Amino acid sequence: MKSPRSLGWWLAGFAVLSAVFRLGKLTVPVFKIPFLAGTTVGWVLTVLVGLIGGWLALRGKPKWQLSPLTLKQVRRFRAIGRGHLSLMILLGLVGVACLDDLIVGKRALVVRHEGQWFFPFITDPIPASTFGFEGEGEAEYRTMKRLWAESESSSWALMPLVPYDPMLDTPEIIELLVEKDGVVYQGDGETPYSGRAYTVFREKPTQSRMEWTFRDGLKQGEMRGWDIEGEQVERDTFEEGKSTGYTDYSNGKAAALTDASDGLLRRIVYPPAAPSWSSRHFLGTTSAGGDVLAILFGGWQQAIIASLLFVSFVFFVGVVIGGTLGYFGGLYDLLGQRLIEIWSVLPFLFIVMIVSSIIQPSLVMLVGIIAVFGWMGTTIYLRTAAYRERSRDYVASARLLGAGTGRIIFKHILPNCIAILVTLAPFEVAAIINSLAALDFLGFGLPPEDPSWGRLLREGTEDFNYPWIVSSAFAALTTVLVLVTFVGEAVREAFDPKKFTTYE
Amino acid sequence: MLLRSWMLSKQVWRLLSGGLMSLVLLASCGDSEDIRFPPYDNTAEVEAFWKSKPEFFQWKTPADLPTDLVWEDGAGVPEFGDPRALKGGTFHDYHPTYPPTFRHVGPDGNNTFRGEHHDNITISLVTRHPDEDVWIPGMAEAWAISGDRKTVYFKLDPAVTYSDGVPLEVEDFFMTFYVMLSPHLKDPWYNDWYAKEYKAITKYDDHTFSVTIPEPKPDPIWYAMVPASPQHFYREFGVDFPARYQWRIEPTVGAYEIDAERLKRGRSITLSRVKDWWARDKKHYRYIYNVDFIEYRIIASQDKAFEMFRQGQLDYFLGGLPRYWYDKTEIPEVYRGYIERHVFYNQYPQVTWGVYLNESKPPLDNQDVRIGINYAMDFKKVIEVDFRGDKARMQSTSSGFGKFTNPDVRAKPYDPAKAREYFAKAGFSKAGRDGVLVNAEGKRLSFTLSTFSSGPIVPIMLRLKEGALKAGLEIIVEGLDGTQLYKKLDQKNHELAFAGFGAQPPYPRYWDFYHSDNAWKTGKDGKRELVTDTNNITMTADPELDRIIDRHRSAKTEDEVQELSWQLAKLIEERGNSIPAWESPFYRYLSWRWVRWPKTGNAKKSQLPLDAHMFWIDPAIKEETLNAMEEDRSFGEQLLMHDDYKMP
Repeated sequence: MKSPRSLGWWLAGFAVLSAVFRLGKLTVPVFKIPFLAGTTVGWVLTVLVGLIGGWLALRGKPKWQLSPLTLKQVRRFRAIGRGHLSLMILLGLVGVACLDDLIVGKRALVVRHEGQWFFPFITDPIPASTFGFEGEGEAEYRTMKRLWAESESSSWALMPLVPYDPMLDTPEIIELLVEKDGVVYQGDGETPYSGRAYTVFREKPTQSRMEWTFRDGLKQGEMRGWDIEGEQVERDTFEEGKSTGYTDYSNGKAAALTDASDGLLRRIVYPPAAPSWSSRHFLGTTSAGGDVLAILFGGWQQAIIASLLFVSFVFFVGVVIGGTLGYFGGLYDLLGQRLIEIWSVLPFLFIVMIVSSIIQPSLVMLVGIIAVFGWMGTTIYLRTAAYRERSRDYVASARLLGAGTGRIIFKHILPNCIAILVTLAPFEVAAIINSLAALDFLGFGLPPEDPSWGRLLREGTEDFNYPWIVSSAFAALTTVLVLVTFVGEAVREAFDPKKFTTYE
Repeated sequence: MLLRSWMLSKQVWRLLSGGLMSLVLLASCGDSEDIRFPPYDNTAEVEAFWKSKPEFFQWKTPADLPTDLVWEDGAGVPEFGDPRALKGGTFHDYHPTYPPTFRHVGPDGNNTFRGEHHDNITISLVTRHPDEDVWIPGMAEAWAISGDRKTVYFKLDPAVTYSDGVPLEVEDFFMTFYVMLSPHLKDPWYNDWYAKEYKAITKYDDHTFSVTIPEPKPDPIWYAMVPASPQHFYREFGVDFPARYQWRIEPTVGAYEIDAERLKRGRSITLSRVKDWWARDKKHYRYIYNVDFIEYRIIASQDKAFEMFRQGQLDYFLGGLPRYWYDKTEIPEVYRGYIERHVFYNQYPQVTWGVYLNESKPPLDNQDVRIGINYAMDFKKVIEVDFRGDKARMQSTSSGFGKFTNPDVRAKPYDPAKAREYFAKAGFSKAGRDGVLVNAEGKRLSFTLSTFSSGPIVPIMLRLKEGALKAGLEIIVEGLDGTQLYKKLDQKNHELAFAGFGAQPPYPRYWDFYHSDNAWKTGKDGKRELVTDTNNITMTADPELDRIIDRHRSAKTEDEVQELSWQLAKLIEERGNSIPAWESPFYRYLSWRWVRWPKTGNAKKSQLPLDAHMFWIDPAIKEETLNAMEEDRSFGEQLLMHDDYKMP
């Protein structure tokens, strides 16, 4: 992107690839971004990007011609190491978020089965029957991968780094227990097991055969046994590993079931599960069983989308309303300001609470609600700036030269207000991330299945027994907010016309 | 308490909608000497009302009593409670919200605190034995049922007095009808019930009266035992009843009343044991209602309440959720036996948690779609993971009614392949891009599931959603505030709803939930119109079912009720519009060591641990425990399983 022309080629290429992938029904990370808001919006965006790209590539200047002032500001920004580094890290994180299914998701990246290649993460759902498993539902790649590995099959699957979806993906974690000298131990083979454990039918692994309760590795309390149809056929009670009262409900048929199971003791690891390298839950799971890292990732994607929408809306409204208020002034300005004042005192939180108790807001709607109550600050700044700029001499001379209102606004006043917008942007981003998290924390936010940092934070604070939940969410939120704030400070400093400010 | 706060009942709705109003009233009104409520006397009105309905309110002489009556007095019935029970002490408990009113009828009257200060305390005319299927004396010392099973005769116990010392009169029951039938009550449910379910009340002498119901019932006592309304208390009952009586404490015939002196508005409510209570030495009441004071602190957060319980500021904690039962009890107080854990197997109709399908919303009118949805609900995983296997799948929505529950009716297990089979039968056979099935017209198999936004319900619904997607069914989970949800269900605007109805003995009720009278009516222009505000949220309307339900409602013997209940349960299971979720054969709770419980644990037919008031506090054990805590001495971990009443 050394020149507007090369940027144009890049954009045009992106638009073409997006369109091609879309027509080929492939959801490729990065290239599916224009279509996130639906088909129509997607095509409009793609065509727009393509046209702009094409125009730049053909008609654009061969070199960037930046004003010396801008160059100076960029230089100054680069010189502020902390801010510059923060921006690089943030951009890197945004890039990671764009990779989407490539690094986080339950669909395999590549599957090799019976000589064929599959790329499930970009194609339509592939039924399990395609891979020789039962059912027309979507294949479960994690299970497939495990079963193939166990049976040393020639088929294989490559999963993303985090093989879990950020939403609606809560697999059970089942651990095999170890029996040594009549004492049952947890999977590590060292801690005597306390809790429930069961065996399953060899022919029907979803049906439990028998279930016991263990205390310190010994059977204690009730045992229940089922037949393959799920009817209870026997029960027993144990006292320190010894049977004390066996009952057979099926007139002796229960004894015949003894060999029906493989004899392996299993236990369900109840969520939340602690971080574990082996189950690929790098940051553990939530109390519903969702992967914390995947949810952090999904939440970060949401935060980026929310920030883009929010900043665009607020800036657009700020420029239009603030700019005209300041430029035209008079009664319009007076009334506008009073309306803004009235609007500012509306109890924002109550309104969000009322709205979200009636309907379930989506991300766009939620950002819309927050934006409707969050545009006033930028607008007031813009108004002040426009008000100040229009009484400057250069505006007066432009007018004397016969420039129209439109030209004055777009060519003279707005470019001089951009510094304010750029300075405000990082703080607006921090504000929206914060607001979203706060609303989710209070339970008035996104639909319940959507990944969200606020909800993760709330879940964590409800129960400190599972520190990985709250610490992950807290770390993610503070890291991003701190980075954004560092960038904001650096931008502000870079755009400050005075190199040295002294306070008197 | 958690159980109750989940329940979709008028209680929840009213509690929520009453929240704001009660705050306002709290601030504005306090004492009965409020200038808004000048003294009032309704004696003349009441008497005129009684006179205006001579068929209903009758006065006769003892000579008019039928001679062939067989009087019962529950003499041979076993005692209950524990003779070791000690009287005295204060029991500390909590409640999540301050009640919006102390009335037990009228707007907000049916709130979550009502049980604590009214239902579990008051003594009815005759009382159900907590362990056996028999009646025991209450306000009446003897009772008799007429030959046609429509009239029940009661002989009042002359000892009965209200907590303010005023003796009970027969006219207090007449007063009940005046109050309950009055429009001033602002409570249509009671207006309707008392107008439809009763035919006459007759006084024979100062202690004898009878109540007549319009239709014979297998056991008319369930209907005939009307409560007493103290006339001296309801003297000022009039147009302004809801506001005037908002915070008045009704004199009770029960063992406890709200203690006005210990009341801290918005913070705590204390019940104190009535001095010289009339029933304290009676056979069936001498071992229950043991503590002198019951203090309910108002604590909104369960987590905070648990911490206070752990500190010993509360004596008892209901540990329904795995989070409290397992995770939070890994503490030294439990290991050393200062806090004891109890599991009690009870026998009580189950709250009918389940997914209810609205048949009036196509394609839910298609039975194959409904059955498919049945197979697509992964309640097994919910029970295994969310409840850690502590709950069991409920097999039918009439579970827990003993012999009236059909044991052959089974809930459909989770089976995505079978679900797809049924969906295919209904025309949904092709999967779309997102894995959701589509029919020939391109309609997606997608439904909105409305439920509560509070508590652990929403995560559970999301787990169902995840499982349903594997069967090609999309569920959009809509978590609503209780009031909104209730409104939506009342208007029959939902597609699927996850809710639970608190059921009550003796028989399962089908008319309310499945009769077409509660689904459709013929409007003025002859068109079919929705009937709103009924419990028939599945919009079941089937003439064949209606016929059986009508017979069930007017059945005269228990055998008949049983047979028809079984038939109905089977038919409803075949319709597939009510998908039962889970049930629990027990309740479990934690209590400090000094709170003692009877040998059997509790009352067999109790819904929650405190309902039967069988516990007591042992001061000696309390001292011993406190000393042990100081010396760090252990009593050994206690997990008490009370499974005497466990059903096989």
